[in-house]
Amino acid sequence: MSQTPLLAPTRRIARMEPAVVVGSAIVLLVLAAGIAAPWITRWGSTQIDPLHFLQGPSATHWFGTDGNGMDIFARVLYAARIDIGIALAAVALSVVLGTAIGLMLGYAGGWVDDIGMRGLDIVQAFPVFILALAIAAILGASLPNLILTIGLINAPPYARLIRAEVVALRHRTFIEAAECAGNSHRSLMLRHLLPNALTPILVIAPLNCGWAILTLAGLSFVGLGIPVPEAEWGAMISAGAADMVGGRWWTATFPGLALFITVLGFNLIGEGLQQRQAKR
Amino acid sequence: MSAALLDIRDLKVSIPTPQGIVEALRGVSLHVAPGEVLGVVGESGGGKSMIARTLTHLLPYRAQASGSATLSGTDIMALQGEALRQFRGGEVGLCFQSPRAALNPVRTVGDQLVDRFRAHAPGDGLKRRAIAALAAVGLRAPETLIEYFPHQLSGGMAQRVMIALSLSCNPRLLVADEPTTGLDVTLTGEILDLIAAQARDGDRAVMIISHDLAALTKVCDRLVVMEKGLIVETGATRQLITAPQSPYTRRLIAAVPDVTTRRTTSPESRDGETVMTLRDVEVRYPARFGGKPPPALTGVNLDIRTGDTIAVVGESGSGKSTLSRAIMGLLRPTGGEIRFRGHTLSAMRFNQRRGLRRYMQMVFQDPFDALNPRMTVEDIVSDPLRLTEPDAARRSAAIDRVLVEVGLDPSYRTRRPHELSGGQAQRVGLARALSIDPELVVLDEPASALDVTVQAQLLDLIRRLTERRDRAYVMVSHDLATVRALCDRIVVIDAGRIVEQGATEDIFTNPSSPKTRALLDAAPRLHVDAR
Repeated sequence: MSQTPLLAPTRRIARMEPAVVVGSAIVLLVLAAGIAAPWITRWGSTQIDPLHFLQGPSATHWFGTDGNGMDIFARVLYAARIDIGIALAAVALSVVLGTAIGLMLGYAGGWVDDIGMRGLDIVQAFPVFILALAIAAILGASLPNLILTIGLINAPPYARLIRAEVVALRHRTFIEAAECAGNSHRSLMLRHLLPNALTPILVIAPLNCGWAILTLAGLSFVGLGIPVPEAEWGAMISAGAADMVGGRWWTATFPGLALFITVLGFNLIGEGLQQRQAKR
Repeated sequence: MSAALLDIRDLKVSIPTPQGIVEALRGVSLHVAPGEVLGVVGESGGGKSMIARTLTHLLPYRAQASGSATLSGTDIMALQGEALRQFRGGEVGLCFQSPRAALNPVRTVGDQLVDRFRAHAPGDGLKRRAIAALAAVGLRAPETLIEYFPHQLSGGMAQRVMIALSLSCNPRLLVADEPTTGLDVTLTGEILDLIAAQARDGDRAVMIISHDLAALTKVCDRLVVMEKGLIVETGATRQLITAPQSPYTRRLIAAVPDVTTRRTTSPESRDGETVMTLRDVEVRYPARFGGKPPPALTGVNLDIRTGDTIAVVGESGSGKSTLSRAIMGLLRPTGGEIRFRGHTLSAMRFNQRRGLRRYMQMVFQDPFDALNPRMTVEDIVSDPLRLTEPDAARRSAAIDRVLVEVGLDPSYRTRRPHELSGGQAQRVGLARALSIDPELVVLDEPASALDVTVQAQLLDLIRRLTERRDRAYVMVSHDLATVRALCDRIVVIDAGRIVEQGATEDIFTNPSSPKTRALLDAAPRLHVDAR
């Protein structure tokens, strides 16, 4: 039996939408640059050039060096791995977690749904960034913890979206028909409800990746992100912010630009998918 | 006949879609005179609604229209701006297909009428005029009704309000687009009479667009038959029905179910094994705002035996769908007992009921809504099969077998619902139900969402299936004519109660309940004597 293709709707939606093509190209390019960093630059991400501290852009150091003598160009490239990697992992976690919660709440209905939704209300009542700060502070700064933090705080909107879809689908005839066909609760949820409820969240997930990168950068900026000296855009901007005052613009500007371009790429994908969905 | 009020010549409408340009109308010419009722009949996709939409400049986005349409000399196609605004509603009143969707849900009936008056005939006493408009379409207690919101209206009331709205500014042309879709047979007659009466009283021209040929013959002076964007035949109603020229018209006429057609096979002696018994079944839906609603079903007793084909007949809201869902265990009765194969179905939990699913299956009213849009035909048909047949190869063979049984080519296996026509989709629904060879099949209005010619084919298929007498069939319907040729027994249901049950021919020859008689009178038939 052929498996229901979960991603088929996205593929169909993405077809021919220029914003999606441009956005995907940007993100893939940044990611490819991050992966290919060792071949693009001879500097390592934490390698110190003891002769050049806080030097402006030059032939040896394209984007200049920071206060520790590390090559900014190399660090911006290597940081793409961590930033995009964490963003994708965190959003994947949010999608999986949110989908599971939303599917169960919407399917169960009644008091289970009521209690679950009020739970989500409570989580969402906290300002997102403050909550992220709190969780990150409790868990401690490390890569898996950051994924967990950003993934967790971001799950409730997905849960809500999926639940709303499921509640609307729950009383469609084909779900009744599936019940008549002898499907178990599990099969009703996974085989019949989920594939039909998934499209909207696949559309907003890319937008969310941009947001996840910004959150990560924000956490790093206040010192709760990736521990130094690991290269990460937010942390680099934070470190470079002080240099700006002294006229050494390059330490913060280049990671800032990288962050901007990547988030723009993700947003273009999400925007394009939304446009496409609205047209249908 | 007096000069035409509405004159449409060589109207062409094409609509660009992602799949290419659809020629919705391919050169349509027709005219309506004052005082005349014109019926436009045809199956879905025939382009009927595009005529109404052209007249009110409501064509789909980027549709191209050419040809001419004039209303007593005014070029309708050239209207724009303020002139168009005055024309819509002022000169032409349009009744939409689904009144509940066409009425603004957050404004009261009275407000919506007053809006119309303000736009087209401002003056004093708007509220009084709104009340009068509602009274004129036969609505009772219009003083209270103007405070109602659309969701508080029944289907028939909503359609009357829609008519009142389109008539409110005294238009010279009234266009009704499928005004009776979704209404009961008894209501259909009333609404059509009301619309047709507007031609006689106000010297208006009336155009009724419908797929229901039988209903149109009752009220229309002339009929226009449309197929695939073209007029295939036009003529006075009587002449068109008695001497149809085009083969398509003949097919439409043949598809009108005939109340006099009887079931050809006699029921075998009723000694089949009892499959299901319902004892004193009651279903109450939970109250919404404190008040205690009347039960949707009460005091229902019914025995279903192998070989039976039982029709459950009633108007919408009578509880017949509730009954079919209770039989299928899709909802739990609040009282009484349903026994199936020795088990008390009504007391079972979800997982226990699952075990009985292989013996009972259901076919639903709306074929498209009943099929999972993301699944292929083979996945849909094999869904219940997975209960009984773990072996994929044998399951695959069973899918082919059952598809052929319902008249579909096995090559349809890889299609998805949106690639099927309505008739094909309902055949897939039927194939799903029959795939595991159930003992009891519930058919909930299986043909009512289909075009008439397709309806006839599907009912014929069902009739052949039931004549094998190897299963029990329960068929829910609002239409006595179709079930006469299909069923051995009829159960008439009204307001949640069984008001009459018995052998089909007994019910037809000697109906004891007034409800049954009303249903019999309302059964669709071609009226050729009326005019």
